[in-house]
Amino acid sequence: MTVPPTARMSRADKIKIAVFVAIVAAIPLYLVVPWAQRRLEDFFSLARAQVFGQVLIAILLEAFPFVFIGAIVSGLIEVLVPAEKLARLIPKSLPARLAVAPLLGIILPVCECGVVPVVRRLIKKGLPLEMAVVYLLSGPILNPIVLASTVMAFSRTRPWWAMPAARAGLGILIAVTVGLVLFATTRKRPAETADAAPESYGHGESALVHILHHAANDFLLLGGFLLMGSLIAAGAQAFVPRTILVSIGQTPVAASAGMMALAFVLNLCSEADAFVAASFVQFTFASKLAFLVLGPMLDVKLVAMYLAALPRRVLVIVLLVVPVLTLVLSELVGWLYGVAA
Amino acid sequence: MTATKHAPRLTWWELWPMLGWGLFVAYIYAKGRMTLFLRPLYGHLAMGAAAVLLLCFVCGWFVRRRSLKREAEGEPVHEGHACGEAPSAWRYVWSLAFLVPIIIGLALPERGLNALAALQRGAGDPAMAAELAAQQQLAEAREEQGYGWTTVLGVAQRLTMPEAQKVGAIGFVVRNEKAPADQFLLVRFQIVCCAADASPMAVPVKWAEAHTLENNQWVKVFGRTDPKAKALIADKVEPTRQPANPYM
Repeated sequence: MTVPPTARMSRADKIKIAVFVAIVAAIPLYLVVPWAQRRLEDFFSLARAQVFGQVLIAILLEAFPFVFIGAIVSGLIEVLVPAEKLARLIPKSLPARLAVAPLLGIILPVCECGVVPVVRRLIKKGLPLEMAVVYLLSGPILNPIVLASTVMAFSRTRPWWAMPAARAGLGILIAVTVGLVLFATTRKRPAETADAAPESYGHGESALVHILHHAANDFLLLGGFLLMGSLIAAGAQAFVPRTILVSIGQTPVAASAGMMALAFVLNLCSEADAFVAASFVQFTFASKLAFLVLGPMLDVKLVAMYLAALPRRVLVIVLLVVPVLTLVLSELVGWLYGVAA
Repeated sequence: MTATKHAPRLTWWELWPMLGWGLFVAYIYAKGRMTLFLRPLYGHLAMGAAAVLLLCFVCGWFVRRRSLKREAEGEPVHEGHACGEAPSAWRYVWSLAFLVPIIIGLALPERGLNALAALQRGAGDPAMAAELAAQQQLAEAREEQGYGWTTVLGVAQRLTMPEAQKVGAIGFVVRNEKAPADQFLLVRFQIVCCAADASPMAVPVKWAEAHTLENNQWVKVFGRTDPKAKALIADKVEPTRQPANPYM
């Protein structure tokens, strides 16, 4: 049944009803919100809850600009880089692909949070998985700012270039190895199909609007995963004393394993982790190296964000191969460093 | 033929997290609380990103309005994520999850990391004491002579000097139950990026009235260093307010 035009509510009537509903709703809100706020403030004045909240907000505030920058780069790629053009730029042979992929970390230098939306978009645009994952894993380590902070933090180590060089070298080696494993295990599968790229935008919508819009979409998706990872990371920092993880490292290999566990739980920014690693003066070169190599590749919040960016089978391979290689190769490099010293 | 594609229309459930998070960060920044979580430089960066996020909200709202207008004119449009990643049933839960950090952030007390965090991160632990030497290179403490206000790290450096020196230091109190009643730790956290990487710089302080102090209380300590005891011998301890930036 259609409503006769005379029976329809006018705009003024709708506004009056909305104001009435708002006032009625405001009364219980006025009573409930301060009560809830007091209870919450009481809860977060408890020492452990405060540490949890403080670390959670700190990780989110620190990481979200980088995730957002990554999302904007992702939006730029989506709108300005046609899939066919990207396909033409991709080397045909596997060795060339694996050689070029780490260089992307220098061409597109983003940290471990920002690289996730970029890689996600590149995969959708048709970048081969092995190339994308090599960039994902090695990019944050080869970031010039990260390498500079490593040089600064380990300037007292002799020779001064040992730790930055070992970190960059292992980062590339592990990433390329994961790329090879991926290629070997996925080459018989059908190739990932690239999204059909928009070539033009109608109705006068500018490219800028589309870039920001895609950035917002990516931010919403990855921001949720970042939040999940940060909740777990903050819980770990509030409930697992750092000293327990440090105390694990009484023997050389256990020290590396302990430092890797610490890197996984702490979720430090790759630009800051070198200073934290340098402060563990009682730890071996190998264990600090393991901390510095694993942190930018795998931690709680990154695993949560990888869930949104990588196919599950790829994530499983990354989770299995990266920690084992990090442990073994760090010990090997640490041993060589000891012999040379 | 070239494909024409409109930006997908976001729902209000997807738009509000951008508005909410952007306003939350702007509120934290405007209240001067950013330094409780981040190093100042990163605080400015977060505020800049929040401003762009708010711009994205405006952009999403604009696209939504245009899309609704086109729909009213009978043109087919699609709603939701561009790439169809998140199942639509989860859209609302996903969106509500952004409320969690906002509520927690607003409920947190206005103070930096506390005594529990200091102890969990090794303050006063002999095994962690060696960190002091390595951390010194990061210090940005400006020291003055005599009772000039030094950071805790400044005092820690003086503990390694051969002769006793007069110092004044500011930090918060951490009382370890195992420590003697006339002793407490004067602590200040040092951060590189954010509170997640904060390391406690702790100096043992000997003061007869130490038992009257409470954990997390900010104090000014006047005294002299005792290199033999590796402690600061306090002549006077005064309560003070938490500095605007509680970290070093």
